[in-house]
Amino acid sequence: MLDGFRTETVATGGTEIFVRSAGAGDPVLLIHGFPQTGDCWHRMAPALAEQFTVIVPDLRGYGASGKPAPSPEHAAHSKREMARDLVEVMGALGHERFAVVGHDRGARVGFRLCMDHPERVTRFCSLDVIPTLDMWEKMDLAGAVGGFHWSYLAQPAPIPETMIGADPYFFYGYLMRKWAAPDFTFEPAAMAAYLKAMRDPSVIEGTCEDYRAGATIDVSHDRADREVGRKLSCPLLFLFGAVRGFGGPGGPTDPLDTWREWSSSTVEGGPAPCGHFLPEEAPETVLEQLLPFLLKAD
Amino acid sequence: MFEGFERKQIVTSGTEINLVVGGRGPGLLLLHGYPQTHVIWHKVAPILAEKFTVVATDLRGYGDSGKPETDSAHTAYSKREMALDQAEVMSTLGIEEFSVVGHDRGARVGHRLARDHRDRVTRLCTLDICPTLDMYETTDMAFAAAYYHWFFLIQPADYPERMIGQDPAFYLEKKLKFLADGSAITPEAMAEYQRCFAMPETIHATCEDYRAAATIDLDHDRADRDRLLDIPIHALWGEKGIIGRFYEPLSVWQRYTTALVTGSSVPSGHYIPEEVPDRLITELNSFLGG
Repeated sequence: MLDGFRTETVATGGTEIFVRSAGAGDPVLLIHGFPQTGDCWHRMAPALAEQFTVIVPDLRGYGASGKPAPSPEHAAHSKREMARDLVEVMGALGHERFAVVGHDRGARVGFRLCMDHPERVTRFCSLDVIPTLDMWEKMDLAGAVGGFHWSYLAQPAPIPETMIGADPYFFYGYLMRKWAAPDFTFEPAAMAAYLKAMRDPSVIEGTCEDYRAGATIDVSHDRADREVGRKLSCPLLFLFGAVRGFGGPGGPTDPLDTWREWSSSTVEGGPAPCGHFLPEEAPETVLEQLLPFLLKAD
Repeated sequence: MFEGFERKQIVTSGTEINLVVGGRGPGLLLLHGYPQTHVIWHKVAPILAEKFTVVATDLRGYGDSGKPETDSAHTAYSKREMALDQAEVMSTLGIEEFSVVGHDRGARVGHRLARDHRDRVTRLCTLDICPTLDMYETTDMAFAAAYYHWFFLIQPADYPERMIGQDPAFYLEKKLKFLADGSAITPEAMAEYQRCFAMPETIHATCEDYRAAATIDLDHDRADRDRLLDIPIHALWGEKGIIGRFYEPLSVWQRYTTALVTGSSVPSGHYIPEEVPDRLITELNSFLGG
């Protein structure tokens, strides 16, 4: 996966981040989600690297990056700390300003990065994600059933850790199949990389802590921003799966509206013909929209 | 446990119900909840039996009762079918009219029993629940986070079944942690819960109980929402539990009956019959006129 990319491990204030990079040109940070690794960009990163410097980290708690110990308020797995890692990584690699593309949890980290470090981000692309606070606020019976993992993974340790750990692939694999379009098959080599990570108890703990933070401290951070009227100040591209999730049955009539409430800049985007895993299910569609978005003059 | 009570297996039209029966006086049906058995009543049943004919059953799908096959609509584990078992059991025992005390899932079955068999149930006492319809219709972030099992257990078969089945003892122990007093569940009772929950059929049937609650039970509840009960309801909830945090149980229950709703919080977590048995007996003596 990501053959030919340079690999290195960058020490940050809080942990160590495993990062792969390639290409030349303006920097683009690609942030993976749950329950995956940077390998989820394998169908997009090489094409992007033809025009950009592409930087692909594993989030803290995931893949080959450091696994900080859980902290009482879940601060160690807040999107704030995860975003700080990535700002430091980009700084260490010499990138002061960069574009951010995030999928799933990676888009939550990307959103937080934009809010906390607006001077560093030129453009932001969210793949299949609206902010955490809105997700919780919109949660009703259907949302709680469809997103049961939000509350399940946020249960106190070691309940989900133990139950997932007995057969990690059964738990994570089920969710991946459920969220992808019915006819989609993950690339075997990518799946093998995800599987390898899932079998690591520290990754299982890291993913649970990510969601525990998502049910508590991340919500507080979003709410604090909303209260003071802090907005996204860079242009946003929001693409979402048409088959499952936002574009699917039961989704909001205009998913872009949620993002417009958070933005003082431009918001564009729309559905892609796939399920939740846009970078792997519909890389061509994403690139068709993403490349012109990234190439626009500021 | 249950000294002087008689154990019976009674065949109903849909399955076979395991129960203990003892005492004399007016009929009193005790219905347990998840993930337990009739054994939850072991501290209160002998005392209640001094004034009542006490019947403590295992719900279908639980304990040593039958675990009938289900279908994609979860019909076999609708509260309607589960309540019908109980009505038939009481008929077989020759008890036409009776009061019902239900904890957790048992209180949902008791509620449906009162709605479907209006001539049979004279009084209803619910322990640590609000009606299913209210709880699901008001689902929000805080409730979804606190009641995760309502959303986890209703995922398609056999996803939660397998997640739980890998180590049922661990899961059961964690579930029973919502106690104000960790020693309230006796080792003997715990051994019974563990024995019964270790059966794969129990794990599947109990998931079906929850799947029914999110689908077919809601249909039934919506269909007779406007047909209010006319019996008194006594609602008790644990002050250290979740119900009192999210609802005003007395006013919620009052919307379901034309008779008076009484009740209060009790100094307990979720497992009221085992945590505060003396308080429960006092409450029931007063409510049931014992």
